Amino acid sequence: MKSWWNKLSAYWFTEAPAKRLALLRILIGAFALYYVGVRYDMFVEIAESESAMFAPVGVAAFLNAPISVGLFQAILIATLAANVAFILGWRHRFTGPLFAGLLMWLLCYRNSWSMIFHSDNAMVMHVLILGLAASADAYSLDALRRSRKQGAIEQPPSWRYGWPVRLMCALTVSTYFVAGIAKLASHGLSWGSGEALRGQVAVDGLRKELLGDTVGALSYALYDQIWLFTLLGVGTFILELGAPLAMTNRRLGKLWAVNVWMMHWGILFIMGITFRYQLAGMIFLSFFNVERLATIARTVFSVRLPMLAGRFNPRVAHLIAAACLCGLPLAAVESRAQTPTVQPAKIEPERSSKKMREYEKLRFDALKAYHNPKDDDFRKDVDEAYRQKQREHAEYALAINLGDQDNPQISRTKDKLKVEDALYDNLLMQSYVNRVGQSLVPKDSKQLYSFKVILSPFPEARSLSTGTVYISTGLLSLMDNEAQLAYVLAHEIAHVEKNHWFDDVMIQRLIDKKKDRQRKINSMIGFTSLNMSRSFSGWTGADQIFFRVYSRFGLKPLLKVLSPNVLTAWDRVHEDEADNLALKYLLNRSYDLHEAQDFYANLYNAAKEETNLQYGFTATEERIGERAQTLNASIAFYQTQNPARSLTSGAVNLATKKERQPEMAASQAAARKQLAYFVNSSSGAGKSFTWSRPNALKLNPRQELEIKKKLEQVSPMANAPEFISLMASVKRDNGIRAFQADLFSIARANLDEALWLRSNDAQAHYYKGRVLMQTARESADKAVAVKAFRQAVALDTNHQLPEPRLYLALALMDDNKPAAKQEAASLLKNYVRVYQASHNGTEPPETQSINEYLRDASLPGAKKLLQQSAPPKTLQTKLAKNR
Amino acid sequence: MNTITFESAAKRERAAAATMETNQANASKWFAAGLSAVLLVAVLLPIRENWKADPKDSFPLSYFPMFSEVRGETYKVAHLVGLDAEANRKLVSYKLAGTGGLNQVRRQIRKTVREGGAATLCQSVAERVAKSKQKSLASLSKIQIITGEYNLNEFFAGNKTPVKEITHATCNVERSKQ
Repeated sequence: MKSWWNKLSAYWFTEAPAKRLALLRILIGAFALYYVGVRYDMFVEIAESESAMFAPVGVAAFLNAPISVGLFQAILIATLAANVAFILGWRHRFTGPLFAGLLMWLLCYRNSWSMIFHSDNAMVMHVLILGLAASADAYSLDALRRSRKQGAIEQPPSWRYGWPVRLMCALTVSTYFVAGIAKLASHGLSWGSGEALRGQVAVDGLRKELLGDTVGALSYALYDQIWLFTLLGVGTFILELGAPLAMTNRRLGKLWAVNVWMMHWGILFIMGITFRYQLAGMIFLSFFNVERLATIARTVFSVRLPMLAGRFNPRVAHLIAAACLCGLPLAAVESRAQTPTVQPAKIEPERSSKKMREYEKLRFDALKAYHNPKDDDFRKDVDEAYRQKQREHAEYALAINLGDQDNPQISRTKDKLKVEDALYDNLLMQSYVNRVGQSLVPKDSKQLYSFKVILSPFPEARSLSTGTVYISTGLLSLMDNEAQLAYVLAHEIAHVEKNHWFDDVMIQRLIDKKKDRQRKINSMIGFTSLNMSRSFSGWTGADQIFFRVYSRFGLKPLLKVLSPNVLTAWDRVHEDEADNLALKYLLNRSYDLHEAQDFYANLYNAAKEETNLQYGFTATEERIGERAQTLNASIAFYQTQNPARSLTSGAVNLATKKERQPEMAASQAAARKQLAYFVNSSSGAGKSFTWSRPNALKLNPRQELEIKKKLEQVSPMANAPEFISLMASVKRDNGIRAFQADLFSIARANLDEALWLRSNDAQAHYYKGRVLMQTARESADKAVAVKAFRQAVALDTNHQLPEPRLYLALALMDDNKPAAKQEAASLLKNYVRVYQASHNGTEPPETQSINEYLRDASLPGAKKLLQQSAPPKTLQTKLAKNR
Repeated sequence: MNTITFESAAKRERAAAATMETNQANASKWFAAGLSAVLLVAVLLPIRENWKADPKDSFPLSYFPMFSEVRGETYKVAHLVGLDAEANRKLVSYKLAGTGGLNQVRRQIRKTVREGGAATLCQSVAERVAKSKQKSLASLSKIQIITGEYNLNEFFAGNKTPVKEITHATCNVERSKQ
């Protein structure tokens, strides 16, 4: 035991001069004074931070809440005062521990605001040791006072001055060892490969760049030098895990300290991380005979600055010089350029995928080639192709304008049938849509526009390079209000304004050009290489090997460019651009931007209900989610610019009426919820996307006045009755078209909504009955259909719509009751009569079948109607075929 | 006789004083050794955190987790963006979002965004920008709080387009007219 103690005592309690410990006190104390002093304002500001950020650590952990700023300031001032006493060595027995305690508390409190600064740990521990040890036995007011009392007696070297230095070294070494263990525990020995360090460098650089700080000078230059990171990784491991070895030998300790100090400077240069206590070398001072600094300082001071040397007391001069020497590295750290508070963005807004970035690059290359004065051919080629595209669009418009709505042209391309679109023959709707569209066109646009409605149950909108914009009745029928219509039209205008058709043509030409060039190179290289391989190798497998190698390295770039995924990215970039610009156009007319979000909820609902609709403007559920997400971000940008929430003057919002219909409201709410969930889960943003709309924005009087003025400038475009009437017609007609296209869900929804808007529409009742009859599985469904037919018959007071009578008769035929048979017969007769009246006396095509039925059933009135023979097998089949 | 007696007494006193000094020194050494051991153990003890399911860092006794976190291919940073009248983007320094060093403010921004306070933060930054007399901030008309996710390799290869970006809040820089 005794020998063990003696060995430990001999190692731990080696003698050291009082000046060494005293100089450590002064230098580390001076550093602490500088460190805290220059951060006085910052510390106070931190103490003023929101209490939500407060997460107390260390000796501040007992606090439940932050202390008052006044109290903090008092403690801060007391710390600085104690710090001065500590440096001066005044009443050290009292001020030393006091300062150590105050600094510990202050820095614990400062590190209790979401971030722990690991560069402060060693300083606090070193001050603690110096505060408790006899570090003021030299170079201090205490020593001065004692020498005045007892005569000038210099304290001899003692173990009292040795162990604190040893402990400081041991604590320094321990912190690095602990840091090394952390790396080993998280990554194992693989940390030494440098990959983890490289990742840290990247993360640190990214943070700094995005947060507006200076990125380490060498970060970018060295990032790809993986070997260097391996070297650094291994080096760091050796220095940190091997740190305890520094305690075994003084020379080894010094060598270790110098290397670690250099490591910190390396971190500063590569990552820009400033460990001030370490960079200034303060943490390593205990490894050296710092009292020799005074000697060095004396030499420097007397040689370099002889005039100044004569003006100060030599001891004070030496101390100042020593402090200056130690301060040099710190001065170098602090002299780093201050970063400005704002700098041009080096980052780009999100384009969401690599493919889209590839597309952006392609577009950039194409534009560069188009504007290249040395490449006239490419420009001429693009211009000609674009003219051709415009001609195609003009022909397309012509076909639509002359198309017959009642007799759509059906064409076949290979195994696909295509129904040519035709204009919707509702002039009121055409006029209304055109008015809304024209109001959205930017004033400075040189393009002339035309907005037209086509009769198609598929939700579609498209623009032509010539400025014509088409919107289908299918899309119109999904809208709740004019703002939603305006959004779609604005989106299509944006495509034209952004010259997206021209972009398409230009990029396609560039791809063709690259393809041609690559083909030529391929044939040249292929020919030469194949010949060479055949000549020299003589091996029959050479061709295959060449092909594989060439496919791997030669063809890959080309395949990448021609990848279909890249091509599909065009649409996404264009759609997002158009959405963004559309919102600007909406704002110019004071439309409510949130209606665009609601419109997407309607689209999403429709796409879920009827999977056949998942193309055109609607697209897949996923794509709707993506667009809604992009839109959400854009709206977040714009909504503060114009807080007006007017739909537009005079327009009616069907959505609010829908909310009174429990079934519709539930369906819409469910769609919004699902879409929000989809967007949130794909973005991982949690709270970033929501359909909840702010009910009332708090506007100041100035804003209210501005909005009022703006609204006054907006001319009314549609009053409520007009919009309801138009939408009732559109929904009915689209419902009929959807029924004809066997899109039964959308047909039923459209007809229900049409009847909800205008309940006295005989045609809507009739087609609703048709949809129900066609899809009826149970007698209850048929009963609803019969009811709809009856209402249609009842509402057709002008006898303009004969068909409901026929179909009501058909529905009643299934009933075996004599009264039903009688009614069916009566309806059939009525049908023929009304048909003839509304068709200039022409008989209906079903006349023969009807006669057959009446005759077979021996029903009265058959003779009058019976004209021809050849009865069909069943009346229902024949009638259905005819209709 | 007397002299001898005095000399012996003086020797004994000196010897006693020396013994006392030695004992005091030994006691001091034991105290110093004890203090050293306590401090060293305290500094080394946080190593245990490395193997805990929920490690907690502290101050000044830390397990020094810096540079030891496992990083993926991508990394998310919540940061500030300024927009001028033409919607050109400018990166706004963290210094306008809070006090402390970059990493402290970065953590504060992240925490604020996570707890749904992006709009408030955005507003406070916008107010600071509006009050600022710096020329570089004069052109900013909007402030956004954004979380950008970046592929680290691509970022350092020069491709600074985010893999994903979420805009948490946007607000106007309202400058009072003078």
